[in-house]
Amino acid sequence: MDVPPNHTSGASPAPLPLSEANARALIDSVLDYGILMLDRDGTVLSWNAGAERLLGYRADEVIGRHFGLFYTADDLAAHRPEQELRTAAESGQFKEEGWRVRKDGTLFRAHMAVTALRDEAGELDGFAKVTHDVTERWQAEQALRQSEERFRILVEQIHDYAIFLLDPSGRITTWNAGAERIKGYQASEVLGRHVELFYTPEDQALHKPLRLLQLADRQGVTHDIGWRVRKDGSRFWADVTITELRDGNGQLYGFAKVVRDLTERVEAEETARAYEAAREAVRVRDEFLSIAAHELRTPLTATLLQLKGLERLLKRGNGPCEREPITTRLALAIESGERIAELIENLLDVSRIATGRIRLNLGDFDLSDAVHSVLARMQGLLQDSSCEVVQRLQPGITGRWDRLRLEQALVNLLANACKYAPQSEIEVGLARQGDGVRLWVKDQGPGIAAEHLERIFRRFERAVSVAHYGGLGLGLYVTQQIAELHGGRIQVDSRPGEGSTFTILLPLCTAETNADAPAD
Amino acid sequence: MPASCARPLNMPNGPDADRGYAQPARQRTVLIIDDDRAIRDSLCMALIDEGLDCLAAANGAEGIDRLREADRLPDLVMLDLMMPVMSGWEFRVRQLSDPRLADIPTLILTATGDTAAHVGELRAQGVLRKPFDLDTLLDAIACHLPGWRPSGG
Repeated sequence: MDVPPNHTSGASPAPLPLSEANARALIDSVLDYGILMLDRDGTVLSWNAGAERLLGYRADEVIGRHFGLFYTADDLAAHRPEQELRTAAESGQFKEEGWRVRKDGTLFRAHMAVTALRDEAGELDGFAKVTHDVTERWQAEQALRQSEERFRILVEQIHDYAIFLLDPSGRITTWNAGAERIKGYQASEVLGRHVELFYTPEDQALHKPLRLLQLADRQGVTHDIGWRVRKDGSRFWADVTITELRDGNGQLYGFAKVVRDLTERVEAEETARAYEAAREAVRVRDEFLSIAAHELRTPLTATLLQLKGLERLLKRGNGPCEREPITTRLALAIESGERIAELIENLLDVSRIATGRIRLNLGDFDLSDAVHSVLARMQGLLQDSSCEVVQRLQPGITGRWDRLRLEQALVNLLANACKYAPQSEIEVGLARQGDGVRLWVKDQGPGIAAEHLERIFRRFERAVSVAHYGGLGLGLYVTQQIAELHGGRIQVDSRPGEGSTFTILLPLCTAETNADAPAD
Repeated sequence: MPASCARPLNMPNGPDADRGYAQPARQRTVLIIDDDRAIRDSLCMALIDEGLDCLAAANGAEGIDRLREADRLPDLVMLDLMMPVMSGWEFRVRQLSDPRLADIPTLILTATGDTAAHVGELRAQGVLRKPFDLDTLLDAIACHLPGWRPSGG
């Protein structure tokens, strides 16, 4: 509030044509500000309506009293009123915010300005004091400060996340305990440094730190997952969120960065995955071993029964033994022994495939010859399962393959058909297809549900319950491997209730000797 | 099981005598249910050598058929467990639920699992684990065919 310089005293003002009445009217009309005049010693000379409202005293209660009346006991003990007047006298004006006491003893937060008044000669004549109640603002500020403080303490205490602020250029302005733990730097080592410090040299070369800040600036927030570097040079797998910070006018004033170290989680997940895979492999192997043991026990039982029966027959030995029962038993024992040998051979095949030791023994032959010889060999099994074979063989398909392995593959497919589709028709087919050859076995069995189709080619797998079907569960696996070793593949077309067709697709590799074979 | 079994020779009037099984001169029949032809054939040969008659079935369903179509029920069933069409477990359920068939003594022949558990679970008279010894098998059969004994060897 401007006070005319020649206005020397509130009590006995010099007569001025305009200002006296106007100024008083003006001052009295102000209700939100307490405006009072003090003499050189601080005695109250005038009192406006605002002051009365603010402090609770009527003019007649305070005029003539020292303005220390409005100060707290502590401020009085510290001689604050005197200091304020001295400062105002020395520097012209004194401004302060502090607690003041109302008439009823309650406190309010006051903002005040004390202006020294001087006469024409420059002598101190007194003081004008303007007081304003800022309690509400102070409380709001206080609440905000406390909230910020609590938030700051909270952030500082967080250990699992690095949380820090950057200025708009990317320099670090705050640092929390999580940042210290994850990145290994103390606050004093990083404050003021550029955030690119945490990036790998590769990322720095690609200007990634800057690009991420630009992205956050453009989008409001950006995420990144990647390697970051600790103080000791080690790297960690970080999940980073950068959020732009804007003031009320939309002006960018920095970025908030939250970083989580995923390394442990990634490692734990990898370990868990590896553990699960290992456990599953062990389970599959154990199951296979028990199936293999079962499969070996069956022919072994038959062999031993024959040999033991033979022994009992011979021991009983009433006169010369008849030849016929002996030779029959021996033949059956040998047959079972051969089954054991075949099973072991299959097991070894799996091991050979697994270790890459399976080798093809290539030679030129007519595929239909191989099919015929397999069918002849499997006559017994086909009859046992009451399966009738229909042949759809295109003659004269000659190429260079491993005959024994392809025969083995066909045996596996036919044995499967006998096993799963007994008492039905099995179609065996052979035809040129494009640059290659198609060899298929089509049955009219129960078919395979879609969810099992992918599984059946795996080692030791089968689509059906072991309680019903024996076997090592290796046939299709080995067959697939044989097809792939030839540069071909196996495919299955099947639907529940509609039978299955297994097709081996082979490239037609011909040597010079059959270069003149008919082409498509 | 066979080891703890008293030889029927020593108990001609054993618990089965009043069921009419203990007729010394009667021809005994064993039903073999196993999906493996070699096992069926070799078991049949061995049992015929010992003076028993044999019926054979390749799975549980055929086994039930053999029992239902038989004029005279077999005296003993030898049952494999893992078989196509109808497993040994299912066969056992069907057999036990038919009062005419339930009392036929049944020996389990298996290559897998816990034999003691099989006896309890399947309420079988005994379990033999493949590969089993022929002498042990004949002893086990003798336990359940009173009045019959192997012809020796």
